[in-house]
Amino acid sequence: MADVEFHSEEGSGSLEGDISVPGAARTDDELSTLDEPVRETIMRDVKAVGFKFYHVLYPKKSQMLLKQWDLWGPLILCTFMAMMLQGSTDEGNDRKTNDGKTNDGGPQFAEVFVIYWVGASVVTLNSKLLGGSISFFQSVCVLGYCVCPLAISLIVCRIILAAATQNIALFVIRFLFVAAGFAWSTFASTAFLGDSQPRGRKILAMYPLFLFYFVISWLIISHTHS
Amino acid sequence: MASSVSIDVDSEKNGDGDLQFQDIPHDDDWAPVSKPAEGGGKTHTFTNFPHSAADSDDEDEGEKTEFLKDKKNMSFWTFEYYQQFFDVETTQVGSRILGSMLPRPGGNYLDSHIRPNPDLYGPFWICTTLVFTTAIAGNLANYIQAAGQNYHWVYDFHKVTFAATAIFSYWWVIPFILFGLLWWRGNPARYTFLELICVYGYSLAIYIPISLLWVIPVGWLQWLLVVLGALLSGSALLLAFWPAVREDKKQVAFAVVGVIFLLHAALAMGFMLYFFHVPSKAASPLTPINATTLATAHPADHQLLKDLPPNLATQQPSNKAAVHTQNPGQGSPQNNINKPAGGDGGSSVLQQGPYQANSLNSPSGGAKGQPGTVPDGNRQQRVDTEKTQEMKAVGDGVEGNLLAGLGAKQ
Repeated sequence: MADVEFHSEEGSGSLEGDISVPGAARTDDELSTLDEPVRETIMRDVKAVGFKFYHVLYPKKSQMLLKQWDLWGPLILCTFMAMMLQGSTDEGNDRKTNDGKTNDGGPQFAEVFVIYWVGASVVTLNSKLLGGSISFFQSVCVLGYCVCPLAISLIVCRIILAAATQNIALFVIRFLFVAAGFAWSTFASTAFLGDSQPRGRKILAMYPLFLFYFVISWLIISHTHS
Repeated sequence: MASSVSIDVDSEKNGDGDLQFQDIPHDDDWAPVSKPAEGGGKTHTFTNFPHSAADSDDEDEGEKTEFLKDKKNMSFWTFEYYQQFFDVETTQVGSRILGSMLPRPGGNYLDSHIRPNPDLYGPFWICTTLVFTTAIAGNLANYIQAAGQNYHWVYDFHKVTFAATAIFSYWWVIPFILFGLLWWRGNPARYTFLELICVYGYSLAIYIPISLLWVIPVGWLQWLLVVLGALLSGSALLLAFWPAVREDKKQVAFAVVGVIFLLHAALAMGFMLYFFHVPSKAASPLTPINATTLATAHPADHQLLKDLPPNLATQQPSNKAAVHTQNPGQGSPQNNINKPAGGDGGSSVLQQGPYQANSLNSPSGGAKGQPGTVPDGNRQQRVDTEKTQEMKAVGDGVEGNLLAGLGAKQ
């Protein structure tokens, strides 16, 4: 049995402080999100998404994208791109294939969706299997957000396609825009994800990233139906 | 394992039923024991397991293989189990790729490069890259072959899905069959399924640059690339598998090796013919009138449109048609594109107006491809917008017209 000795506490007065669980809402001091206007709740998330887009477009090494990940941005981008890139299967145009539908050979909406999400997941899985230190959703978030420059180049291509009848010069311009978007996306994502890989495997982890954005760029440049 | 000890539990052999427990030098035979004396590290010695294929190469590498055996006992459902298949460095992957493309006579690719650490990173990403390079280069080749014709070429995304199915099936199914065969034959070289997958995956690496070179629309060059690719990586494959079958009967050994090589070459040929092939042509120049050409790319889909019976042609006096005679040897259902020797310049290539020049997946409602029935591969190209309206009118009856036309042309 241990001796219990009570020592007098020199130098300490009465105990003070809060007994609180760190991380729990202190309901007296803060409003929960149920109490604030809906607009504020939504705007907070919108601002977070916008902030991340800004960081992708002007990539500086920041932990912002990684620490507070969300998938809104990737969802918006993916839906946008799938809508723009899907091949049309309209009937009743003046040209027909023998099955009665015009088909401009592009992917279906679902195919773009699958390429985007499954592609991002596979690239993430790959980097995790190689020993990367980033979490799954953080990586998917970064990969998804970094498609933003390619989405911008898709918009530019669409404008070019709609503006004039096509010729070689316009094709070259479109190609340059898509190439620039590809380079920007790859650079942005390597800036965010590069450090999480073990040395000696950086190229192994970066190559799938490159392939992912390359495939998306190819989808964009091949899309010629306006 | 040099240090493994086989334990005879003699107690049951005693006829009179006495359990005589012999003084067995090991404390615990049936469970892994720590042997701190061995090599200074904690090692697990499994002495009673069958000599599995995974342990075949462990004669010299005491600690490392002990560690590997340890790793292989992780649960199938944990993430770490799969991490062991990605335990490669960049340089290792590079050297494996090079080794698969440049066979060294007398060397065994599997022994020298893959063992003892087969990985799945290389094969998976090589196959994925090959899928996309084949699809992209196939579209590019299609575009180049169609250049000069007066229609709006559109790309075909579904080459990707087709290529993916073909490549991933080849990568998995053939090693599976081969593993079954080796297992049936006793597997003297102790190849694991993972190693087979690994070798097969890396053997496809050479087709990546070849698929890019296949874009060049020169027929003999494409065939040359087929031969080169099949020979180089096929021989690396053969050299890797020869030790596994050479102890078998001569016929079986040669048969297996021959089939491996044939399948590899068939894959290359199939890709080339399906995505890239340039048929040789002896064509009179095509002078299209209007912007739209009903170019025929895929026999299965456009048989109807191109082989309209002559009577339809005569009804369109303004229609000029070029008759291309194709090499009869190319009746295979491949991507034959009629390339007119002359055409209305390049200005219209990128015109608006979608038309599927090369549809792989448009389900032919009325017509199925009849590559074998086309007499001498005659193709006709109709160049007219009025023709399209006529198509609409003809509708489902085109097939009947086609057959009639074929009969007429005979």
